[in-house]
Amino acid sequence: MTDKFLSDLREPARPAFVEALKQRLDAIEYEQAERGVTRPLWLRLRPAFAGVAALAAVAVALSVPTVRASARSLLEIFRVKRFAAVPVDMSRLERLHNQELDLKTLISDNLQVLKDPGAPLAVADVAAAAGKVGFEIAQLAELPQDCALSEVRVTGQGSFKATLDTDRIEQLASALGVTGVEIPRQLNGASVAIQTSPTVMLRYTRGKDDFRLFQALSPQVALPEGIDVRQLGTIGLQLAGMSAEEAQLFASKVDWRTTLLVPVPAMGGDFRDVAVGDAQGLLVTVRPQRRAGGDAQRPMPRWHSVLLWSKGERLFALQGPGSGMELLEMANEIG
Amino acid sequence: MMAEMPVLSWPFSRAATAEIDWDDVYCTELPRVLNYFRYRVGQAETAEDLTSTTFEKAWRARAKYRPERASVATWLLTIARHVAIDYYRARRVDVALDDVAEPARQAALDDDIQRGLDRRRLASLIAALPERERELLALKYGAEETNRAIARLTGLSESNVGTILSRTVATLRSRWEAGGQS
Repeated sequence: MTDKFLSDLREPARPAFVEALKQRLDAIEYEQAERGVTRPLWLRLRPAFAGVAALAAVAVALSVPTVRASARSLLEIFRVKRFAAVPVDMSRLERLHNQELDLKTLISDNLQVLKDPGAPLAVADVAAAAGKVGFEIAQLAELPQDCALSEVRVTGQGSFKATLDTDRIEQLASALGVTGVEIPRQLNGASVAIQTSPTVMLRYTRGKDDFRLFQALSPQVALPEGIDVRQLGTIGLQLAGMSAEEAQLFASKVDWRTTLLVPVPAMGGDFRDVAVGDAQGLLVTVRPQRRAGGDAQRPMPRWHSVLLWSKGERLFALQGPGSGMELLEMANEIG
Repeated sequence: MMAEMPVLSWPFSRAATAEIDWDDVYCTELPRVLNYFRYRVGQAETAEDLTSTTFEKAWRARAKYRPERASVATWLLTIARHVAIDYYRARRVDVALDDVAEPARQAALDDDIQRGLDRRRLASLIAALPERERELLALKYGAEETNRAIARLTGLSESNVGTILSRTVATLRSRWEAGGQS
């Protein structure tokens, strides 16, 4: 017996409805991001870790061999000039999540937002965004076919201070199953200060494809005098899933004062160094995995990539669908 | 710096949240949820309202989604079903046959009057069905779920779902062909 007549009620959604609901969902997303609800664990640590990404910041948080007075002299200033990928064992983060452990609380109970950057605000155009952020905004000199600028958003400057708690850090290491890591007791009470610049997001749309170009000035991370950044990095890398030997080798090859570490899932993620003009960039590609129990009839999720590079004082991130080749072409069109 | 915007939250956040592409989820699942409600409640405006409620609830609860328990489509439909239950509970009425049939008597003034009338008549026929049958039809023809998936969602056996749907379709068909809504 045919049931074709029963399909009559099916209709595509009205475009106006689709767009209006999407805007409300975006607002929810931004609101939750502000509260740290939906971000990945490493980004929930954002106020403490802004600018050096999670792992570097975890590392920063972990070791101050001789902290004399927690915030007495903030001499070590970080400026991001390059990026390095760090494979992360996602099962460790999942373990924390399952235990409902909050990394931010584990690392520091004293995380102060000195200046809230606020939620990303939509502005009329690039000129309006430039007026708000105070620096010249780079754009794509030539857009790919059928691609158009569809949205411009800005966030303000941010300022944060984290005071570290070694007991909490040990709890974190224990929760992650990391053994053999010594957390210097002198670290207790040390302060890390982070200043983040305003950020601009330009969204380019081509049909269902969505490309987002972010740009900001380098953040500044100030640490107490006498900090052994490399030691910090080594500990942080172990927390990310590396063995002690791997972490030491990796740490020895990184300029810890100019390198932003980018966490990449050890499974399902891929990364490589690429040239963006004269700069060295990092291209990270992730293919979402189809989960057991998912609908096999549905198409495989698409690759998505993000390209990170710096130019002068500015940092760029360009993200979009695909394996990254198109992103590279677009990045080379950014003036 | 960039952490103020989701620079690294995408695509990295997918890995941290079971590698879900939520933009893709929105594009893929919105029509299914919307059509589920069209079959479930009949009125297009109400269907849109309930779809909005469903997605807003889902988006607020995304951090709690566990892919090992259910596909994201199933998870969304579960939320949608609860939204439908809440809707009827709040109204404390079922959509009466006449409520939906009335607009059918007001000829739609769009370009496709006959199709519009057919759609309204079908909605009125579905609205006259018992709650369980209406729910199964909404999942089958609105959300386009398989009998197996419907069985998982409703707690009925797969064969039971098939039997009920087959009987319901036959009933609807006979009423449809009779041209009325008995």
